[in-house]
Amino acid sequence: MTSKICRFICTLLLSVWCVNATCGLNTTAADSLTKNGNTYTSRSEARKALERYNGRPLFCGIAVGADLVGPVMKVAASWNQLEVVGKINLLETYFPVFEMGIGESDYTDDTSLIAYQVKAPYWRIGCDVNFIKNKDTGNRIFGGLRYGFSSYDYSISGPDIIDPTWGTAVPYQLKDLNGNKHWAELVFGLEAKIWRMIHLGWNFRYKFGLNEKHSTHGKPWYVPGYGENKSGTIGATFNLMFDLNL
Amino acid sequence: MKHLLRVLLTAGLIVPFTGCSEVECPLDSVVVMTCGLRHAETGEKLQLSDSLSITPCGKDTILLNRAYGISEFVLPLKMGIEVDTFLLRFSNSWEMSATDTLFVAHRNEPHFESIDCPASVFHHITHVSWTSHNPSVYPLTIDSVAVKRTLVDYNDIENLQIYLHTAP
Repeated sequence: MTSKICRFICTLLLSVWCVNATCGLNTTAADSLTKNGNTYTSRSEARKALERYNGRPLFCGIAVGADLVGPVMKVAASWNQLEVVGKINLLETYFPVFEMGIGESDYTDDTSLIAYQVKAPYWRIGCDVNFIKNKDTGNRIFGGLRYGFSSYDYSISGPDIIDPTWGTAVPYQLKDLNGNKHWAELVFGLEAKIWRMIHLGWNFRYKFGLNEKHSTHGKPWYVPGYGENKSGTIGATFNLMFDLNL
Repeated sequence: MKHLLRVLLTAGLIVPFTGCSEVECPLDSVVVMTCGLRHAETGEKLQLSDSLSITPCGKDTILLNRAYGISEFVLPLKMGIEVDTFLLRFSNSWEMSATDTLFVAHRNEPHFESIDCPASVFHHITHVSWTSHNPSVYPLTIDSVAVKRTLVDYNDIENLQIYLHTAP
């Protein structure tokens, strides 16, 4: 009987020690924050509370994703782009960003019958800042800056031009013209946590040119990654992002 | 906050597919060479008191028909060939007349303005030469020609300055 009681007490003590050892985080969080009257139902909730209490780590993970609007524009617009995004999450506040893609246009205007063709890669580098107050929700409100660059060859062709004085036909075929463009972007966007590590969000960009080289035959109409080649233009992406907490 | 994010996300889905387009073609899309008339003696702008007619050499077309009181005129250049020859015929009310010739060598360059603008050809003037008649035949003749702007495009900026010698 005595040995049974001893065995029971030993087992009980061992169990309590094991629970304390394996759920130390939970207990620590609970212990440290119980003073404020907070209780936590899950381990992850307690971990987040502990992170808040101890401060967030500098490196919170990386996020990768892709733009969903670009490919849709292939059927809906005169140009399209395939773009992937990579972000580093620092303190859930600063997000250094690298974006790269391929921009393409193969478009013939119905009125002028002029055809414009370009297909080239582009990249952007920059940083977003998450302005949302409660960063534990997983939702983000961004403001940011980008620097973008693309080097491309473009071709323009159209019907022969008829000389109004002499009536002769002049061919209008401009092949493999070379150009490049540097530009900057002001970015504003949102990202909502959809499920676990999946985020969905859009961002709008005001883009303006910094420097440009192009053929003497004329400015390119569309620049990969920049859009219509005006002095300032608006762009948007709709991104599906995956947060990878390494 | 969640509701706001949901609304903004939906808006973000819709807005990229809406937009407006605008045509940004130049209002004056005619490519012509602008020529100004100057006094050979003073270099000042000359307003022609005689009439001037201009025809291209080799075609029965009148580019400028008996223009009076002008100090500037425009001429089209060939899009496919790189030399133009213009015959400038001066005449007055006493039925006196004389013809000078203006040769303009140029390089042609097809130009792209925008996808929704008509195609055009710009020119780069490379050389200009001329002939003058004897002032005793007719008292107004070309003294010299200066190229002020080699690029011939949509802009009505003076390309050539034609200095005319007027006999007393």
